[in-house]
Amino acid sequence: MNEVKFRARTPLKAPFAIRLLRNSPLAIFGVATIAFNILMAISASSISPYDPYAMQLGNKLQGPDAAHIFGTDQLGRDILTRVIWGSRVSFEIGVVVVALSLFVGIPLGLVSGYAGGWLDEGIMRVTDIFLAFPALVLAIFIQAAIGPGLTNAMFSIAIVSWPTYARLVRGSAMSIKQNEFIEAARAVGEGKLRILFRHIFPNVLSPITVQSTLDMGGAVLTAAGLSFIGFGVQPPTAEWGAMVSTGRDYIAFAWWMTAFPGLAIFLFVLGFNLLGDWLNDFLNPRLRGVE
Amino acid sequence: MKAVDGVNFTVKRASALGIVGETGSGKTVTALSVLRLIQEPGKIVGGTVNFEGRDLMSLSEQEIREVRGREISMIFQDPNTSLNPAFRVGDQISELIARFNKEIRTGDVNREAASWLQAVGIPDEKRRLASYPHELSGGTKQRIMIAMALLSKPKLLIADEPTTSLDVTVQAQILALIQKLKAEIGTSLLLITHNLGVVAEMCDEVAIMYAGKIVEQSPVHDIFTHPKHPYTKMLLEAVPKPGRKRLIPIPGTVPNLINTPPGCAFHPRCPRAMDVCSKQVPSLTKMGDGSFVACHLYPDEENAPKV
Amino acid sequence: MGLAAYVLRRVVLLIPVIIGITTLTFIITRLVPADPIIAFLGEFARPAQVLALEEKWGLNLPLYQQYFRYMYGLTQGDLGISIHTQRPVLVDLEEFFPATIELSTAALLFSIALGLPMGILSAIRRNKAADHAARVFALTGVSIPVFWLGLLLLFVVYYKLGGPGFGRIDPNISPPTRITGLYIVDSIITANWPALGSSLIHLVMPAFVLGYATTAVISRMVRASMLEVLSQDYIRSARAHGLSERVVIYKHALRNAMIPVTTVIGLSYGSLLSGAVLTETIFAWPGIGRYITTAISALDFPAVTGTSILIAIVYVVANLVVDIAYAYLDPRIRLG
Repeated sequence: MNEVKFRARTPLKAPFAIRLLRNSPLAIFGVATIAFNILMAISASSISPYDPYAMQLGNKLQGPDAAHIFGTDQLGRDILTRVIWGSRVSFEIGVVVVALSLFVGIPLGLVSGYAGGWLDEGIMRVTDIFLAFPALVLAIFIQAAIGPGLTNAMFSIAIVSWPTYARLVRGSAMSIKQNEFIEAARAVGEGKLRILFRHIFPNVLSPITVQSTLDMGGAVLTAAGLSFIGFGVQPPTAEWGAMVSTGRDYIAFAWWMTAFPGLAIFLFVLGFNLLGDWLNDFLNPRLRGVE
Repeated sequence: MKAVDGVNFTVKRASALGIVGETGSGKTVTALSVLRLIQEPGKIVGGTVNFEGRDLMSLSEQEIREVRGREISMIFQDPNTSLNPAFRVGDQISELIARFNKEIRTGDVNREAASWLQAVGIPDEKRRLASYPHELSGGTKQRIMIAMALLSKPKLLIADEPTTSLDVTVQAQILALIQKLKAEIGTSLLLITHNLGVVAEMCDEVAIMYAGKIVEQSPVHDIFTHPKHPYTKMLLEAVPKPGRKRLIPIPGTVPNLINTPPGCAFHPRCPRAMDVCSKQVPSLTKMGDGSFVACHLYPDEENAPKV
Repeated sequence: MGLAAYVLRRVVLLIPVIIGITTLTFIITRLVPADPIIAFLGEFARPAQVLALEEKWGLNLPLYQQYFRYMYGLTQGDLGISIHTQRPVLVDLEEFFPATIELSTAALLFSIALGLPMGILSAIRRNKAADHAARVFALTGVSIPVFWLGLLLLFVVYYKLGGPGFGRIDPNISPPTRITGLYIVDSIITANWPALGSSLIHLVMPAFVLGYATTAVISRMVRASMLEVLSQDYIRSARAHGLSERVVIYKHALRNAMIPVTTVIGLSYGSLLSGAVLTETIFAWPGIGRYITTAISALDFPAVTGTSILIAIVYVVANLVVDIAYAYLDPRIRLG
């Protein structure tokens, strides 16, 4: 039997990508920032000057100096070290939240968009209800129910994030469904599941990629917010949001405790936002192939 | 990339000049250039537009704005997108009426708007004035556009494919309307179209454009009886005629304006192309009978005059 | 259909959404691992008290009956008793809600006032210096943690420069007589000028911090929308009719450009409410945001639940208002 192979997606050419990237200094900065964060996370143990949990009570609340570039906190721990180690937690948060959201959101979105009918209606009503809550508020509420801790925080944020992916996927699936080549595939006899995964799924990748990138930053922001009010990470783990929260009590005379971890959050999120913006332009079919 | 290069023409008072060409010939760009409506990334790089003794290209922004919609008006191809969807049609007309008479009272403005709707053949004026564009048909919208263009009684009306987007039945009505109002007001008409039939009905003179240049220009009767340029001849041949069994298209496609063929832009498709055609661009030459052609088949007899 | 019919239809559709919200809330409340009775009475509660409360709260009933009790209670305004204030949650919310409304609205007005001109300017001067600067501003806006921005500003303005810092009003000035609970409005009604001045000054920094991200989002949306609109045929028509550039942009273009922007404004209200939780905590602003964080530290779950429901309803209503504004601006929607 002859296998019918076709895709709806035009191939994304590497030369185009590189040219577009070169023309966008902001995107380059974003990628550089992300790379920097990755390096920091991977080599945390080798590049940190101190142990993140080591307390030097005689040395607490010292301002930035030669020995401690970012200063020390209320327990004498080196802030630079803790900021470096915090990058690990941030990546963990970003990756886990996005993975969970995709795991739940993609299948539901595909089913909803492709199947239509009351199944679609049902799933959409459910996403409506979740989306009726502002993100942080719902995350706070869920975590208030299930208890503090990093794992619960990630779970909570994922519950808040999946509806967006389901909607995106559904939208893509619905528009692809109309396309004639899907009719052709059905005419040739391809099964529904096969159609879903071989044809619809690749086209759904574009909006998902952009959203996931942006959500890497978004999840970290939300997690930092949760930590700030006392949820999320528990001491003594070094997480940027928790560090800012602790620093709040000492801000009048130890501004460095708040400034540097917050700056780390800012740069981390900025990097992913820049990359996400660029990906949006890159993957936008209107711009592809245009000088 | 030059959309239009070296185009010269004149529109005489109270007469109609048609500009004919396929998509990509540069006719719309020419029309927009008259009123300096070319937007970025396009740019007008040179030339003059002589209107009643003034060069429109040399006017300030303020001055050209005074000319627009007042002495020279323009209507566009797609009436469905040419009206602002957020405002009622009556308000859009009234805005223009009030522009010419700042002290006019609301009651008078509405009366005038209603009378203009009547003049363009729209029944039930009051209801229509209160409608939004999406509630009206294409034909009605185009009539409104015509009203909006003519309410200042301009000296020149530029019409860019005014009937192309409309149903066939409506097309004839709109053209008749334009004819009628043109005669009443005494306005000149610059009609852009790809349809030779329309030109035959509406225009006194015709200019044929190809790849950004005018290739033939003459009184309308002569164009149909004595076409000179090979492109013109093929355009006429391509019009389906009753009794003739085959459609005769022009072979090849309109050239990409980024890479125009050397010499005469038409030579790759021209059945009478000669050696010189691929080397030298023919200039627009005046012929004995008052028409102009740009073709090496008709060598330079006099200099092409500047219009 | 006219605007009135559209409004009515949307209001009616609100009901299933609210039912959905409250149902989801109920489900989440049942996820609590801790025992709510012990949380309320403390660890040393006597068994008789525990049983009595269990009876009163209906916790021994099957789940679906609990659900109906819960829903019925909501319609009566019963949101439970706050553990840390020992008052009905509804009463607490009534007290703190106006402060949050004042802050959120101020933040929203601020972000529109700043974001709208920035977006228009970016669109008119596309790819020039002004556009690039606005873009950088917008990027920082969506990347910066709102609590960090607030803390830094607080540090500089209050601790270093001695400016206003915490609270809604100077501690030495008494708040205006409570009519609406909105200090600005009440001060004006009672002609209490010192209160008005102090309230305004104290509103500036928290509103700026809270609205910063929203300013960024609005300015990008306005830019994108304006660019889209300015490329439309009807703008070309307007210019061809000789209308001045100012009229073309601020009347013809803006009216259409605002349509998608109103949706963004509605969605922004959600992030404003979320952000208010953090901002109020930093600036000791006595609103429901600070109330919920206090409740969290005190493990006061009824208070957290009640506040979440209120915020969700406010968000839904805000989006409804936005949708109505959308229908007003774009007549084509009303047909749907």
